[in-house]
Amino acid sequence: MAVISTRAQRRLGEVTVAALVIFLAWVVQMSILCKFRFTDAVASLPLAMTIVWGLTFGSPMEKPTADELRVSSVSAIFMRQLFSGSPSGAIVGAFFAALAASVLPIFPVSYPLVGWIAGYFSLRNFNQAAFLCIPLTVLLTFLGEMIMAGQLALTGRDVLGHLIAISVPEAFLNGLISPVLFIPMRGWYSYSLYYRQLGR
Amino acid sequence: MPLPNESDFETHSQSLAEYLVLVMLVLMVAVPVSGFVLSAQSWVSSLVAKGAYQVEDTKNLAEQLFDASAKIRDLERKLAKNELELTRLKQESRDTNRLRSLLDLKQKSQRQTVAAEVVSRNPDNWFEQVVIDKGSADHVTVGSAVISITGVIGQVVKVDSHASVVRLLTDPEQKLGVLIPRLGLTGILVGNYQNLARIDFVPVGTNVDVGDKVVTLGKAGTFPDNHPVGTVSSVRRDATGASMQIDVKLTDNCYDLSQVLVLPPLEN
Repeated sequence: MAVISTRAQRRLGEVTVAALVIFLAWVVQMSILCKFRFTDAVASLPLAMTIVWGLTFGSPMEKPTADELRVSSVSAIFMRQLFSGSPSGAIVGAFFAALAASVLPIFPVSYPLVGWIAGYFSLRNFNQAAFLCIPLTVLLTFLGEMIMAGQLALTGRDVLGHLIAISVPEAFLNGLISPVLFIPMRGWYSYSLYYRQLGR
Repeated sequence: MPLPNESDFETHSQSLAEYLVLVMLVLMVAVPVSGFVLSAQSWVSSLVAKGAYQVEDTKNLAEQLFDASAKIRDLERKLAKNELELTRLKQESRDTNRLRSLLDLKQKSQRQTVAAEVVSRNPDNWFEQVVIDKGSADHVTVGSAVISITGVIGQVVKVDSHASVVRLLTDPEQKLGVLIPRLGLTGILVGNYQNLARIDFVPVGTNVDVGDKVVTLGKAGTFPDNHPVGTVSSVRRDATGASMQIDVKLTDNCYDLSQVLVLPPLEN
């Protein structure tokens, strides 16, 4: 008799693969990408990956039907919208923030929040998603850096000049690498869906 | 009635005459035609010979071309290999010089020193930090000064058993007590990312010149004294006008880092 159910085994396998991918991305960032600067800024693979993850996997909540919308109150719709971010994106962001915090004192708020927000712009049902992920990554990188700047401003650091100096090149670089992350990630998502259907 | 012999003779004579006429005709036609045939044959032969020569020539040329391209490929491969070798040797030479200078510095220093290598940089754009390959197992402690042969690098802010995090002098959180030896003027230098570092609150009227050297003060027992930090790049009044700000160009840009020297703080 199996100790854990098939579903739990499958989930555990997915988490292990995700952890390995995240760890690999972290090593690539620390050892390779941080050596290449573009106008004093480096591309942030962890941030780009968190955003693309949120965009790819999106929210697990199903789209409300017209009847559901008709009978729901405004507050219920609002709450539904509020919670339709990407939990897996937030977890990936938290994982990266934890990895960063293990070496450097980075505040672990920006990455999970951006991962969650990326879920609102889920690209699961778009045909031209590989192109759409570029502007979304650029915008969400800006947002992530603004949250980061906000956190640092709370500690009394003068951040405005540096925010302007780094956010544009970083967003540009993250936008460039986003399709490279998005295309295999979407393939992985489609494969996992197909695999689940086979298992049923 | 003619004799049979006579008739034979006549017949033979006629035949002979016919043969003679035929031969003459053949000769008359064949001699000029043979010249034409000869010239035509020689023209055709020369044409064929020329064609064969051209084909042979082209074949030789193609062979030469293939040989040459193979040789070029071979030479290019050799050149690339040599260039790689040269780059490696140059890198090794740079490393050797740097290590030799660090060894000199280490021998000059009266303090305990640990030679370390920078293994990675921070993954974001907000903190100017690097990770070195030496930690508490090598007697590196939090607060240790990190220097290179050209200048000050930063200070250790976190220590693990076999790795440490160094906050670079370019980080705005990093402060350093400095001295302008020409004037005996002291101040606190603050990092400003990849821009020029700054010394704030310098008294108005101080005679600081562009190009003045800035060295470490070294009174706190963390950084060594008189180690180069940078040179004065510009001097101006601050926003309030009550004091002056000095921009300092650091001698080490804290970007292309490899070997560094860690100096644990003095106990007393």
